[in-house]
Amino acid sequence: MDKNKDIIVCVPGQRLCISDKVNIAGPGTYEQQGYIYSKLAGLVKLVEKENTRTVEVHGITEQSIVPAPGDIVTAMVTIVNQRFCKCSIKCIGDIVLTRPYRGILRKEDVRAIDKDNIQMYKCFRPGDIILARVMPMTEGHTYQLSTAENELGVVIAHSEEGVAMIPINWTQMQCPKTLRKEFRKVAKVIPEHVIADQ
Amino acid sequence: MPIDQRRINGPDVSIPYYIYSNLNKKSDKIKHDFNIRNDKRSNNEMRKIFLKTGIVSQAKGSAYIELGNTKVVCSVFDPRELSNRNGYCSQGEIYCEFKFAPFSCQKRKIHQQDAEEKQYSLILQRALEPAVCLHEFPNFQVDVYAMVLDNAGSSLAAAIMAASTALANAGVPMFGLVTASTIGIYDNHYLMDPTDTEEVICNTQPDNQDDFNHGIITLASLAQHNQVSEVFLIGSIDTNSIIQATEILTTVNKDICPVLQQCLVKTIMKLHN
Repeated sequence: MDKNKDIIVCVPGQRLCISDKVNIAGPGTYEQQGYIYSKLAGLVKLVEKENTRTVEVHGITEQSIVPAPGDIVTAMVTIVNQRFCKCSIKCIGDIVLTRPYRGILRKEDVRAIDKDNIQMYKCFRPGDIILARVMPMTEGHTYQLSTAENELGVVIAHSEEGVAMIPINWTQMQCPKTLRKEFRKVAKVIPEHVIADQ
Repeated sequence: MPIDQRRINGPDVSIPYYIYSNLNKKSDKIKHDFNIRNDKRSNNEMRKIFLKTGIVSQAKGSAYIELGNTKVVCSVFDPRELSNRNGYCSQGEIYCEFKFAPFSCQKRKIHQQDAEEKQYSLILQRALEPAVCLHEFPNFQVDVYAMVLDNAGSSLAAAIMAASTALANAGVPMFGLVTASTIGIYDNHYLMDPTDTEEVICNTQPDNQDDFNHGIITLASLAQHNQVSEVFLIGSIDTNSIIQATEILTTVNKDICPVLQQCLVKTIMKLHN
């Protein structure tokens, strides 16, 4: 029962406190006529800073996450043609999406150098799993993706035999069964234990 | 009636039995005592409300409400992309579907939505739109499905309250909770939260009186902010009665709001432990 003493539970539309120089409305709240109200059903968190205090409300269910510009997303390539390839966004960071979103990766955004000589079928194939960064949204219903970084690109690709291929350099992958080499825009994936050391 | 290729075809026409059950009655007029209602309530008393969240596991948020014998289940699903739209919208959308189960009314309902259900779907959408922060999910659509399992009067008001609770349970940002209630008017009598029998009486006009006050008003409001989001009126009612009924409904909506709040707080405490 002692744990429940510090819990502040609120429902949508509930007035939390006065909005002034000390109390600032944070995520999950809104201001109206000089007061801070809650937008969500959840728990109230007070974030103390030097002279101010931010009022936040954290929802009980995991929020429906929408990709924001700058996020690293995991996507699966669905359609490839000469000018762009269409992707289905599966994860945002470490969070698996319940509904996939659509993304588009243009020819000019595949890599940062030598943009005019890119051939899409030598960078991606349908079914590849790629890491990409979300760019600012220009079209209403599709997210713009970019792999113009060394750490972005194809991370999982399967050969014709259905075996996962091994990257051998930044443009090629090799099938361990048939030793056949295929062209991809390979991502330079840093192993996780190395990240932990840094 | 055209043959439905996707269902088992029964008889072309079927008539419910209760139409013939009053053939031997001598009196044609409706007899109703307005001082004592059939379920022992006073005229300004609501029926008992039961409200529970989290009953549909596939849905992101869900709610089940019982208003006396009226039973409504409401499900809210994840925001999904509008695939057939090309422009950019800075506001999200709410799609509402209101449906009576075939077994919910005295007369059997068909599987497709009829005109009344489509109208109730639009009313449900208009009641919820002012309360939901649509700018928080631009270009997306939240699906709300309300299913009436038992229609014993005031189904639309029950569906609005269940949908509001389900949206809050799903974590959709909202400016406030929407509560709704229904009132039936018959001459000088105001029947709060009418049953289906009382709804039929309030929709009936006596033969020998032309300007008789009769009708049903459903009002949905954000009780925490004193804002009305939807008013729905059927019948023939004069202005003074409408004003008086609206004031009664606003007061009742404010009284119902703690029920929704307690249900959500109970859900949060259960999940937090």
